[in-house]
Amino acid sequence: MKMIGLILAGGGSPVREMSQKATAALPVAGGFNAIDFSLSCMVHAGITSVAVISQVNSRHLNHHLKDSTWWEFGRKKGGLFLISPVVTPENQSWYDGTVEALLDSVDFMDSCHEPYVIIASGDGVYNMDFNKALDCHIEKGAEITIITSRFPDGRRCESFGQIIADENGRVISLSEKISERVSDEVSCGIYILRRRALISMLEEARLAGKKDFVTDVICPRISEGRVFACRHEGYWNSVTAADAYFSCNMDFLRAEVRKDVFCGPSPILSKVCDTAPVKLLADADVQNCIVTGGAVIAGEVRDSVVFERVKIGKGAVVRNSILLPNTAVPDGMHVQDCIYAEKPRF
Amino acid sequence: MKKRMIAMLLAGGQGSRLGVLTAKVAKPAVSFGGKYRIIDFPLSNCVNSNVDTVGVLTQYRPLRLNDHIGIGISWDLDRPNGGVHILPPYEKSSDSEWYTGTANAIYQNIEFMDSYCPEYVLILSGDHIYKMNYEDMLENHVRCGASVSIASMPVPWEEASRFGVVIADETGRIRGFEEKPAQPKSNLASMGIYIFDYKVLREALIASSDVPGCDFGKHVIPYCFEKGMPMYTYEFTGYWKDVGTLSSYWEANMGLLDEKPELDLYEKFDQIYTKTEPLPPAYFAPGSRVTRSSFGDGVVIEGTVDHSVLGPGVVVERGAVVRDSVVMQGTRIREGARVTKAIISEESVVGAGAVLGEGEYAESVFDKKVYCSDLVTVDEKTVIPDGVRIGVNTAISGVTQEADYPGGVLASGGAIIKERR
Repeated sequence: MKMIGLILAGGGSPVREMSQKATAALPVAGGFNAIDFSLSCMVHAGITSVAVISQVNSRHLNHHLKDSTWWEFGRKKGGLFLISPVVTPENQSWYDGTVEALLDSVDFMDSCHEPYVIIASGDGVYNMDFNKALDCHIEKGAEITIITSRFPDGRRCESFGQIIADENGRVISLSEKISERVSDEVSCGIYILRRRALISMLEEARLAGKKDFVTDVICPRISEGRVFACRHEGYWNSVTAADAYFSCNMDFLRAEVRKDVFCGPSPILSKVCDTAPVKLLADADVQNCIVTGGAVIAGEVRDSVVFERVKIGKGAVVRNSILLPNTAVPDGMHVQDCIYAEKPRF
Repeated sequence: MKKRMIAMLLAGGQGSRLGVLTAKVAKPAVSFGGKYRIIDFPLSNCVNSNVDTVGVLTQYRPLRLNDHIGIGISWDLDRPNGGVHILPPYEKSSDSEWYTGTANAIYQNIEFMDSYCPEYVLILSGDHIYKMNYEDMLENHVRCGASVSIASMPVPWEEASRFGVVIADETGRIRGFEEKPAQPKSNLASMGIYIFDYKVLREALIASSDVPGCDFGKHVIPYCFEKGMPMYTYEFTGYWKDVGTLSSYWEANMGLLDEKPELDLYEKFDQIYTKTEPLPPAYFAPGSRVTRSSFGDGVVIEGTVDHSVLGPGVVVERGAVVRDSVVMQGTRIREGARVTKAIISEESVVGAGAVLGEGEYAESVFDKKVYCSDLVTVDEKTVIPDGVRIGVNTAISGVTQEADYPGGVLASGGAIIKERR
């Protein structure tokens, strides 16, 4: 046990149809919530203490995480810690930036003894071996290691921190959320540092009135030459925008993406939701779709992602769409290029 | 810790009429309906009826069952007080024996029951597919002032002679029993579900403890009846299926595929719970043709599937055709194979181009009692080589090779059983 985990899950949903949910609680790839990917990788790396720092609309997220045994937490040692902003006489507001959010986890970090911390975001979709990344961090003698990925297809530059590194992996520049494309390598928002070092960096930033972990804590240290990039070669995407949410789900129609994520180093764990089997009725015609438990399909569905307990009526035609959990497509309805959120009416 | 009612679930039987399906697992652990196992039904009924203490009596091949039940997490039966307990036979300082009959098994666990000081004990078996509220049955038991209640259901008169029937008056009080009567006086078939006042049960078990192979239907119930105890029937009219034979097992699975099945697994109340692993969603590839079928998570379907029940993680490759079949978890149907009316157990492989379940019916040369339908039955972890042809009413178990199929054929009524360590 060399690491503890921090998951930044503060963002609100980018998808209007699910505005009541935190990004980390968005359903992804059938049966999973976005946060399951980071959590599962942490569990697989032998991490037994994880703090999830949430902020906006944490109700669904908390509900998802409350029974932490599904991720093999809930043991006598370690566990899953949920941290969210608390209103006190001194502090009347939400987190004013990632530094403040991370500062809220300092008590948690103080109570641990593992030498390293891995910080991940709750909206990344991937499956990677964090221990390999830690080995890379130690081998390079890095102060901060940033996990990077190649630039995801068809995505806008503003969503990402673009990274330029030398052949050794040493980061030369990190351009956060600019509109110009300067690199084909982006930050996955996953960082490895020494636990003690992180605590002092955060304290220092607080005293200096700094707010953002990337621009105010990481970027100024790049010139010292001990910030390294560690490239993740497998699939990576993040669901921080509505178009990204759509394309990320659609990516799972590709066999290589399913193989990379679902057959990767760690099985992706999630809260089991006791759905009945998927059922296709007499007139069903389902091609190039992923379908989650409890769905009952009587219509035609092509190139789509069907979440749990969706009902698709007779003569309905669904193409290139995402049908969110517990929705119903009435008989004869055509749905195309949608994130479909219509609940059944009784 | 006192409990009002605890359940004792008999799960030790082999269910030998399921042939190779129960060669290596106890019947209650056999898969059903794609993602469930038979025992999930009584266990879920317990939880849905607020019975939170369940003793599961195991004996025959308990490994899969133990693994499935674990500490009962899937059914919310992991509890500090009560919860699920696996009760295998154990060695005593004298008179150690296996469970020799249903009542004997319960008798050997009097100490367990005593520890909960129950007022009532519910006796269940792990062999049936049904949803039933045991709380309602208990309410009826209390209202009637019964010492023993027997759940029964009306069956068609012409079928009544296949069952043990109870004869009851208009108040439900039982006036007699008949075991598989030629001329039935009643069409109320006993479901093998009993509620006993615990004092009555305890006394009856101790009094009958010397009876060899002590059984509820044969010994304990008649004993209580002869003593003149108030015994009542609780009439149940919902869905209830005994899946004790290959054809009844197959039919019950196929029944789930109706548009409005008798047994609804999709309603939110009285849900059936099972141990599930988080698997990726089902994937239906371009070119797949799938109708009237149900699927567990993680299946990958590239071929044609019609009127079949497929368990989690089943793969049907391109050009393969599966019809009217039950295919359990983790099994792979390779390219171009054709499977008709088959029950294929877990983690098996059907080779490319193999043809299962085609041909004229022939009497089984292996076991006439078990194999007497037009089904192909394939054991778990079985391998069927590429290109062989397998007739109807057949059984295959183990890793078979082309040499096991003279001329590439297993004729109808035949069987290949490979012994394994």
